[in-house]
Amino acid sequence: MKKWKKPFVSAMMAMVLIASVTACNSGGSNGGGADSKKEEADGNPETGQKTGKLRLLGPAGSNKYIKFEDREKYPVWKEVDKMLTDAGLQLDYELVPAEQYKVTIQTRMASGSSLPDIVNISALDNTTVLNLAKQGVLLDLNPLIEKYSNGNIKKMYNEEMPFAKKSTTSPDGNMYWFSNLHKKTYQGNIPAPVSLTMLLRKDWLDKLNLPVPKTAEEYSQTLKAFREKDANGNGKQDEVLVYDPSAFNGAIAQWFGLGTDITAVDVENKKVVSPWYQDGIKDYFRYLQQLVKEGVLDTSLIGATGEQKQQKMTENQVASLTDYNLETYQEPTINGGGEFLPLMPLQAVDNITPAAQLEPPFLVWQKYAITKDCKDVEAAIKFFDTIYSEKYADLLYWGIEGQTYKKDANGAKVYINNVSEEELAKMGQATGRQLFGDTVFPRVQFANLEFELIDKPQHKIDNELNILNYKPYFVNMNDMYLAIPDDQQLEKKTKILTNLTTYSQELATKLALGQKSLDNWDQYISELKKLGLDDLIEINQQLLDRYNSIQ
Amino acid sequence: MSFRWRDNMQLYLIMLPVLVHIFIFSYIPMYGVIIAFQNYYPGKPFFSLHDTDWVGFRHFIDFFNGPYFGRLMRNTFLLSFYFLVFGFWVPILFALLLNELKSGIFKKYVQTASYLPHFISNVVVAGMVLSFINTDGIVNAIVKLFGGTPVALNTEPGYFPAIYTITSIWKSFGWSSILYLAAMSSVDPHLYEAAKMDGANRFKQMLHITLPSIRPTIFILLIFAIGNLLSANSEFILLIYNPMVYETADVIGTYLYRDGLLGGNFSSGTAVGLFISLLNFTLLYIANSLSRKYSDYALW
Amino acid sequence: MAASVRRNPNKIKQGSVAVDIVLYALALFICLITLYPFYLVVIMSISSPTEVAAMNVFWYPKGFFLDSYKLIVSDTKMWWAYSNTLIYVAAGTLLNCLTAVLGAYPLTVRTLKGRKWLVAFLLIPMYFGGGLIPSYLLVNKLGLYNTMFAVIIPGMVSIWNIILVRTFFTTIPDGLKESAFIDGASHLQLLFRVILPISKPILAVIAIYSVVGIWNSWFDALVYLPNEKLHPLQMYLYRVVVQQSVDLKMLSLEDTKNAVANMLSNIQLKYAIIVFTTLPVIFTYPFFQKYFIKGALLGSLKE
Repeated sequence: MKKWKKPFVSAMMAMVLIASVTACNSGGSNGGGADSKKEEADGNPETGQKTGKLRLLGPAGSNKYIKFEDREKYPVWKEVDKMLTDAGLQLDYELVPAEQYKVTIQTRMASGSSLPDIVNISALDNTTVLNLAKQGVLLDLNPLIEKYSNGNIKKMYNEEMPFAKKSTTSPDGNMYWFSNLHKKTYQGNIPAPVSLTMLLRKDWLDKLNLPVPKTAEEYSQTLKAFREKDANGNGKQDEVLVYDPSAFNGAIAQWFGLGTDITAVDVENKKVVSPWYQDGIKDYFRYLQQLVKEGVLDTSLIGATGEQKQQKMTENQVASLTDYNLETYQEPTINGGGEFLPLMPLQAVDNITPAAQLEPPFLVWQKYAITKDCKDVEAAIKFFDTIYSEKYADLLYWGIEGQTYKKDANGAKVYINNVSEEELAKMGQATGRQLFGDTVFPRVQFANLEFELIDKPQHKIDNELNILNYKPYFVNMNDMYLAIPDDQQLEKKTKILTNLTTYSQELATKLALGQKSLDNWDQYISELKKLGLDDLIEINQQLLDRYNSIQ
Repeated sequence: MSFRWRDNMQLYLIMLPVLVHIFIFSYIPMYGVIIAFQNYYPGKPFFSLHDTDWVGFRHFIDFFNGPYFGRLMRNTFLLSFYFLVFGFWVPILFALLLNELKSGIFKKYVQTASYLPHFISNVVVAGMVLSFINTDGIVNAIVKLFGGTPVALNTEPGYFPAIYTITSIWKSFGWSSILYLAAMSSVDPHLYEAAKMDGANRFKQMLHITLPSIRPTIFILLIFAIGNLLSANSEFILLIYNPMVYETADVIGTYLYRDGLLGGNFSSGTAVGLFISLLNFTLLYIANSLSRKYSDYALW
Repeated sequence: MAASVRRNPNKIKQGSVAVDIVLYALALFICLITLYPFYLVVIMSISSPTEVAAMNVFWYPKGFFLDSYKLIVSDTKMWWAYSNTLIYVAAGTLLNCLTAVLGAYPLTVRTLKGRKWLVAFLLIPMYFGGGLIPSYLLVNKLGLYNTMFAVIIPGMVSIWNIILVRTFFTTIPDGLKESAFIDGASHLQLLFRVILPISKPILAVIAIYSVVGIWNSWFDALVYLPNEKLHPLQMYLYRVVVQQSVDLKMLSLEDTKNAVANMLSNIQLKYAIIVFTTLPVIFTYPFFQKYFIKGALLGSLKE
């Protein structure tokens, strides 16, 4: 045994040696990511402001053509840069490639040392973020805003985007991060949701002289007719419906009055519901079984990647799918061209009013925090005061008047350059959103429906205008209406969700395909209960209640 | 005695850099497994008197008691098992086949071609597989050619293991055969000549000369394959499975992946990983003991 | 048995031709099924993007489209990544071969005390690790984070390679070693003068494993190298693939537009990047191949 010790002692010594040598070798190379640049300006002598230096860490934008590293050539950046300089800020950016950012932020947070002043923590999961906040790694913003803010932040959060506080106030009453804020309105102040709906090939309807389906039954007949009459004219019965029955976020589910996820928020009635408990659920599966039996629903695309679905689209085989009613990106990819018609929610069962699926007009997402290592908290707040200003919001979403946007006859802003991003990059006419949004710069967006409707075919415009006030509806992003959970709620939720989702997806798919029978319904429900469905509904109801109670 | 001691010291010194490296980069970070017994998230200290949230074996127990424990273990085991049973001997046969070909350009081409699939990323392979097994894909075209009715291969759980196994074998056999070829090349050619003189035909030469030359390699690889019976290629499965085939396709790795999407699974993921490692290591130990008992080859 | 064969030598010869034909046919078949996917990738990379998106390309390129290659070739970051990868591969392969030999040899000496424990010391890390974060903390503490060493140094020892080399060494006849010791050689001398020259096949295997392994690796870079300028080539492919797997359902209308555009442009670009990033390493194989050919060691054994 004695002989044994020596090698290990020397191993340890060698280890220490190597450690010290390598540490010396690479002394100058820590930090300093892909894109760090010191601003030149040394304060602002005219206003006598002192310079606030800030280090910011975030993901680089994923735009292929409009890149943050080329920002100097864009007029919109010059404007933003001027705003930041005027505020007396000197910024040092560390932008990490977006695909790499999640790992980078996880490991940086784990090491806990040399954190930047402001950091984009959107890539971290909720448990981690809330725990970091509890640990004091992320600063509570409310007292800082009270002390240092010039009022911009409060104005934006309390007046312009009053929904923002609801989504970002923690259970302890503090606020730990700033967010992207988005509001879409029509004619100045009408909230304007867009919808996710079933799109149907309009040119095929016209070609085969078929009417626009008015009920779910007619819809199914139409899809059948597309196949039988060979709508795409390639001699094969290959016109299909692309639909994933595993979740409930395909728009057909809402025709049967079903929520959009295992648990969904009924915004108007302030209730959390689960499609598994809703009236239309069995009829929904019967309907899907029928679509599968007739070969209309393409089962080979269930769980497929976007690329595989795209293949069907390009091959001119997609008769119908769920997508945004105002989308324009599908049509150009169809070989031989085509036109999609967004359908209004269709009546499927006698006593159930079909619901729409909407994207909420008010959105809050992404997280930007100030860390405990921030030396100049005042400067950090100044940075966010600059961000949450109308001028910045304009530059971010719309760019520069006369260059990237103009005002239409009614005073609504609309974009000027309707060209590809590659072209925009060449012209140097990007908006701030494309150039630096989602990096370390939050997106503050006053969007409108007017510009979305420009250049759209009339049937899409009609659909959108009809959907504006349509009720009932569910939303595609249920979490938008849930307050931040506390520790226990979060732990319980994450514990329930993996197993419950697995079971629910598997069950829903098998029911839709007829691999499982509807006769054993009670057994399925008891299994769902055993996996915690009721607990999940209860927790989410609490969160929804809290969301609604926050002023 | 002193000669033995010096001799041993010399050998240890030769190994020292490697041992030090392994100690630093493999053993030191091992303290990370303790998060299996905590509620860890990035940013929390691993050891702390007041801040560490020790939970004992709760993550293990939660996994064992989870509704999918049995299915996940079964699938993980079966998919690796099929690969072992149907795939292990393929590279050996292929290497023997190549060995029988006369040296020349053709042989080199075959060899190079065979290992190409190893270089194609999982994403592309998955895309190809899915388009082959599609209802209007090439597999069903062949089925139709022989008068069968097309089957939805990607939605029937029964077909998944076969699809996974065949693809995995196809992707790896050429690459795996390199090692056997290397081992074969060290055979003294005189042995073959002597055997020919004795009138042994090619099959016999293969059986009595070539095969024994790669026996140690076969045994070592077999021991490791058994010590890997609880690890299926979840990266690839993720790309080709869907809820309809979870029954036969959902493995521990894919389950943990879905769990991770919700976040906060550092601790439970580590716990499950530790459990699987222990099982695999036990299997390796058993395989090695058996091998030492019934043959001459063993890792230790 | 042997006697019966000897009685009819002609039969073997005739059988041999038939066997040859079968063997060659089999090899040809294997060659085709393994060659096809790569062929497909190549023709996809030069076909027009719409045909690729429609998965219409099977046997020959449809349309002719070289813009993807133009895009890649004109990207200076790509060439940076190329040169980085060459550095990682060269350094990593040399170090891997060296450490595999040094680690393997002592384990083959039967008189070595504690051999069993050393093997256990090697095997345990193959099964148990501390996960991503402790490794990151270590690399950070050693000052390697965001330097090229962060990829080279942790990866310079492969336990699997040590075991493979050791297995090969055990097949070397003891007679060779003993004769060297009689001449008074030390272990190091024996290793480098006697054993290594006849271990070219396994060294070639280790080399090719290392070259290909390092060439294809991206995970260490993902974790340890936030600086794009240090990225290896495979990070390119990784980034394209990750971008493609963005879940469109999580995005708002305006973000979906960009994501779809990105996905479309990546469908075809992906193939060009695969060709561009794998062709060089595929061509290293024939270079090593000569060490696997039967009888290649005739010379060294005779000495």
